[in-house]
Amino acid sequence: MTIERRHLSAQVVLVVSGRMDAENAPQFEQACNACIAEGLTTLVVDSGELAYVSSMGLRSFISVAKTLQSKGGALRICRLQGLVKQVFEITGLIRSFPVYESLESALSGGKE
Amino acid sequence: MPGETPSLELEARTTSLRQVMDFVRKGALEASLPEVCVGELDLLIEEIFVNVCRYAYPDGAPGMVTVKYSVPVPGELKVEVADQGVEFNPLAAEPANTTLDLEHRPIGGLGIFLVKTLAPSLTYRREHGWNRLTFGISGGS
Repeated sequence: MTIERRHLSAQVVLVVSGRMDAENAPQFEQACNACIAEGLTTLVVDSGELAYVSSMGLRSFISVAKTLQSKGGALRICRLQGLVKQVFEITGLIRSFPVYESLESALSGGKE
Repeated sequence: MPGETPSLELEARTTSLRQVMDFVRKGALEASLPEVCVGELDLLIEEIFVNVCRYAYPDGAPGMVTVKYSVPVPGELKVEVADQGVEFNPLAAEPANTTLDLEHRPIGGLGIFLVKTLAPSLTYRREHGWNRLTFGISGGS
C-alpha cells in the first residue's frame, strides 16, 4: 500500500493505492491522524487505485471518520472500485460514509 | 494431485498473514481459480486467520494454527483453518448491523460478517479441543 498526500482546492487528499490489510492498515490510520493533528477536520480519500481492503482496513476508516465527525468534519471517500467497493456495499459502509463517484465531487462535498 | 492436502502449520501471529495468503494462493493456482476469485480468497483467509490471531489464544504466547487446502474437483478449492484455542463458532456469531450510521457503529466486528457473506460454503466443527473452520470457493461462485 502507498499513501500519497496531495493538496487540491485547499483540501488534503490522501491517494491510497494497493492493498490495505491487517498488517498495514495502521499506516493509513497514522497518515490520517497526522493530518488531524495538524488541525484538519475534513479529509478526502481517493481509493481509485485501492484494490483490496479487509475488516482491519475498515476499522481504520471507521475510527478516523468517527474522530473527524466528532470535530465537526468528515472522511469523504471517492472512486471506490471492484472488491473494495463490494466490501463497502456488503458492510453497508457505502451508506454510512460520504461516498463520491469522482474526486471533484468529493472535493466540493456536494450530495451524491 | 487430487486427494492431496498440503498443510501449513505456524504460530498465530498477524505478521504471518502474507505467508498464509501465499500458501492458499498456491491452492488457487492448482484449482485454476479465475483471478477474480483470488481477491475474495485473500479476504476470506485474512479474516479467518486474523480472527484466530486476535482471539483464539488470549493468554500468553500465541498458539499454533494449521491451514490446509485441497482441490476436490478442478475449479474448486477447499480451505481449512484449525486452532486449539478458545472455542469459537463464527456461524453462531451475531450478525453485524449494517444499517447503523457512523456515530453508532462499532469500530470492529465486520470480519466474521464478511466471511459469512462471501464464503459460499462455510462449516465449523469443534473436535478434541480443535476449532475447525472450512470454506469452499469455486470459479462459478
